[in-house]
Amino acid sequence: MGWLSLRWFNNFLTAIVVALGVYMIAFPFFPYFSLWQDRLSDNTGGVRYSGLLAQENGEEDNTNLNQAPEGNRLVLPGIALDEEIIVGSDPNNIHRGAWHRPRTSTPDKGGNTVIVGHRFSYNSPATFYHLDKVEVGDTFAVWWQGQEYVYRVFQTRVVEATAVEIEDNTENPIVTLYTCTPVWTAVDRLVIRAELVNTEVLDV
Amino acid sequence: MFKIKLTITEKQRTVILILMTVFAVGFIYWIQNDIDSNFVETL
Repeated sequence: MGWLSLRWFNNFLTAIVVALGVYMIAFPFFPYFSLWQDRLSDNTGGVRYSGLLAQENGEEDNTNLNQAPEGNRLVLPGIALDEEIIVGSDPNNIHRGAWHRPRTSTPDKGGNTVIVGHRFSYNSPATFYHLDKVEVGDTFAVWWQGQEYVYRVFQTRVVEATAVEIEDNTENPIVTLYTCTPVWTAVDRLVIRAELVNTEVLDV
Repeated sequence: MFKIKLTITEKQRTVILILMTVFAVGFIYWIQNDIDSNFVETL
C-alpha cells in the first residue's frame, strides 16, 4: 500500500514538473500568440482608434469616442497596445504596466515624457514585449488628463542600461518609451522617441 | 546491438522529481529576480 501511495505521489510530481516545464518554456513566447490573436480580431488588433489618431493614420475612427477614456492611457495600435499609464513614485509600479517616470515631464507640460515597461517578466505584464516592432514613422496616442496627444516616432535605438541621459528633459515636446533588450534579458535598453504631431481637447 | 536498460526505484524517482521541481521553481524565481532587480536598479 505504501509503494502504491509513493507511485501516486510520483505521478503527481511528474505532472507538476511537466506543467512547470511547459510554463518555463512556453510562457516567454505567449505575447507572440497574444498579438497574433489580437490581430485576428481586426486590423487594429482590437486597439481603439480615436478620431485624432485615426486621422493621422488615415484610418477610420472605430471608437465613437466623444469623451476621453478614464485615466491616462498609452495607445499604440502598431503593436496592439492599449494600456493604462501608471503614475506614482513607487519603483514597484514598473511591475504593474506602463509606468510614467515621476521625475520626467508630462504631455501637458511639453519636454520629455518618459514611460517605461517590462519587456518580459514571469509575474508582471509584458507591456513592451513588442516594442522592437515599432518603426520610425509609426504614430501612437497618449491620453493625459482628458486630452489626447498624438506622437510620431522619429528614433529607435539601443543604449546601455546606464544611459540615464535618455530621461533628460528636452526643448521639444516628445515621448520616450523604453524597455529591456534583448528580449528575456535586462542587459540593454531599447529606446523609442516620438515627437508631438497633434493634440486635441475633448469635452468631458 | 547495445541495449540500455535503466531501472530506478520509486524512491529514486521521487528524489529526481523533487530535484527537478526545485530546479524549475528556482530557475523561474532566479530569472524573474534577475530581470526585475536589474531593471529597477538602473531606473
